[in-house]
Amino acid sequence: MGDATFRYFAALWGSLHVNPRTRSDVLYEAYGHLEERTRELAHEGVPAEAAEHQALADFGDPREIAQAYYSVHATTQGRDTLFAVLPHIGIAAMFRFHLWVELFWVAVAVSIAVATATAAWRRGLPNWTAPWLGYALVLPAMTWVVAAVVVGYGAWAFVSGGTPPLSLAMYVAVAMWIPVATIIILTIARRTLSYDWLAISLASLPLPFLSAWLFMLHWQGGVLIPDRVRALEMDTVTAMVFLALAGFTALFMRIGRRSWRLVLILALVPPLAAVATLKYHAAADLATVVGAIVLTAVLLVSPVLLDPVDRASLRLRRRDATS
Amino acid sequence: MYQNELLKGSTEALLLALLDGEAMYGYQIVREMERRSEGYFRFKEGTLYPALHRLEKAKLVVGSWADSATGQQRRYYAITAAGKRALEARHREWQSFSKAVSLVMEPGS
Repeated sequence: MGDATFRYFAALWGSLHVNPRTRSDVLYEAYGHLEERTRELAHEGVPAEAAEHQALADFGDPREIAQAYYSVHATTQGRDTLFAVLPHIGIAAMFRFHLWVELFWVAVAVSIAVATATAAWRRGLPNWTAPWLGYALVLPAMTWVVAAVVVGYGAWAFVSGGTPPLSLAMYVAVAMWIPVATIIILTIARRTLSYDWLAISLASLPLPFLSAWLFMLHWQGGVLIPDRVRALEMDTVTAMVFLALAGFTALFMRIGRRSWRLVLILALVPPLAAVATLKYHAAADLATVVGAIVLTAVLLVSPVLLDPVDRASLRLRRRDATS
Repeated sequence: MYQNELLKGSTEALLLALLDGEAMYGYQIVREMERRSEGYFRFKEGTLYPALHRLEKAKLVVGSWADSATGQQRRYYAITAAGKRALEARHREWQSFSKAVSLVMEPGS
């Protein structure tokens, strides 16, 4: 097997956004097929190089084949789809029945998410893993957001001569938490869903909405002692937002083309973040709403930086274009 | 073109029919398909595998790695009980369909 086969497999690997176990099966199976076909052609008298090219041509375009695998392996139906939407429905129920005010129920919810994500990892990362993983990482993710805001606010207070939000020791501790939380989140995301950055986007779905909700609590009197009457009034709105995320997830899981999934995620989720912002802050100006849309879109697309497969594919296409 | 459309709609039934007799691996299936159809069914061989994976996901076939006659590891696909039932249903559908097509396209026969 020569350079043409190497390039073919690089293209197939670069386009194959399925979990590592399946990817390994697919590549090994394709290699066996091509090896046998090349050998057969050589037995028929075809020169080695021509036999290799013929076998690859008979096998088909690697990107089309990868897409066909994606539509089989990345989609879910029935019970698996239900499992994927379940965490969003659970969170919607927590808001609808005001359970979030009890630390016990919050701890139960996070524990269930962590246990389920761990079980999914042990079972070879089935397609319903992403939403559970998102909630399993909600604590480091939310504390990262809060820490980033506190550090930003503290820096602004320092520059403008205002009152710092925390003592210097606390400020340093909060600042140090940002890289620690980043490492935790990136390590787990890389080891689990990095084969498809869109799966990480799916896992990130709750983050902009939980952040907006948390800031609403903050602006209404503090996170720890919120204006509960107003916050509880908003619970129905928040429950509806998470039900919308459940519906979105169900739709996403049924779509077999990555490009359509990307269009769907960008077309539906940032506008939902804008609606949530307007509901939480009736006086929000245009800049705040646009900011919510842009930040949500950036958050959802940013996992592309974690995807070695997409980057490898891009490099290969550039090399093909220049050669 | 028309042949491709027909093949696309029948791939899964054809694969189930081929696997009904014995477990086979991908390359073996391609050659067997060509042999039985006397060369009529020719397609991009790589597209066969996603179709096999789709059948496996639907639990109509089951795949497992085993040594082939040449000593190399190959993924063999075997039809399941659910696959046999699906094949019977598709076979009945096909018989009704082909009979209806014949009645329309060859009214005198």
